[in-house]
Amino acid sequence: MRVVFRLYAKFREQFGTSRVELDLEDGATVMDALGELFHGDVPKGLMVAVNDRLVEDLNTKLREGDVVDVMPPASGG
Amino acid sequence: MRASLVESIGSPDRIVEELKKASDRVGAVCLFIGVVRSTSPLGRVVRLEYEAHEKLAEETLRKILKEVCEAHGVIDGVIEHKVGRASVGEPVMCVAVASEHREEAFRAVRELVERVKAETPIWKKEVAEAGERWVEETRREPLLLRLRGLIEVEVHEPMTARELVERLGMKPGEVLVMRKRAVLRWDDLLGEGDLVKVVPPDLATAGG
Repeated sequence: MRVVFRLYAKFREQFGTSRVELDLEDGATVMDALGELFHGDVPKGLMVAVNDRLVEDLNTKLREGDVVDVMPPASGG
Repeated sequence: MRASLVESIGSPDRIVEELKKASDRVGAVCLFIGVVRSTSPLGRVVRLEYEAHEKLAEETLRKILKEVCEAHGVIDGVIEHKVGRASVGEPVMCVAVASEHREEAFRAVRELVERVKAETPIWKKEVAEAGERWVEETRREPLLLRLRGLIEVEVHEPMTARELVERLGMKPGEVLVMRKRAVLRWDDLLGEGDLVKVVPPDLATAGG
């Protein structure tokens, strides 16, 4: 299944793009997807949303066409 | 009650007027404004650049405002947070509440500021004379508990103030440790038989 990642702030700069598409195995979880995206070295503390909803449980299963927002820890203020 | 991302922070006078109109029960308006400071590990700051996941950031700001206003019983509140470029001295965040009395207003504003910074998907890049960096805040783990009043503790073995707080399931900074009327530093050593108070920061000056 194909999943779209939207990258924010430092991740956008690290990847040199704000959007990445990856093919994942059916039944892949958010954590599986992040592992693919970061080649196994998933940064700590990142914020993740799936289809514009924040996800706390990284074992949440993804579906074809899901949009996964990958965001650094908040640093506003 | 409103919370939003803005290109520039509104006039404090206007926000105070807005909050005063919320109810004739309002007896206190407390307002915090964060501004861009000139100092950074990279030398003199040229500007900050704020980026947000706009949809989630506004949803998060509204959720935080509603929860905190309800928790502290304040009457009304406003959060504005800037996105885009900000120069030194420019206001970048305004948190304001109106309440019947000052105590709940102080507590609500403090919690709002901390939660906005820790939970809202907004990021800032610091552009300074010697380079630029995305500012990294240490992510706050979910609180195990929140201290609402002071507790008195008798220490039975030597430990630092930091160890004491961590053994109680809290974190340095979320509470203060006081011995008599003095606030301890985190590395200060406590001895057997010491009597100390663990105090929420907003109560630390309320009579020690």
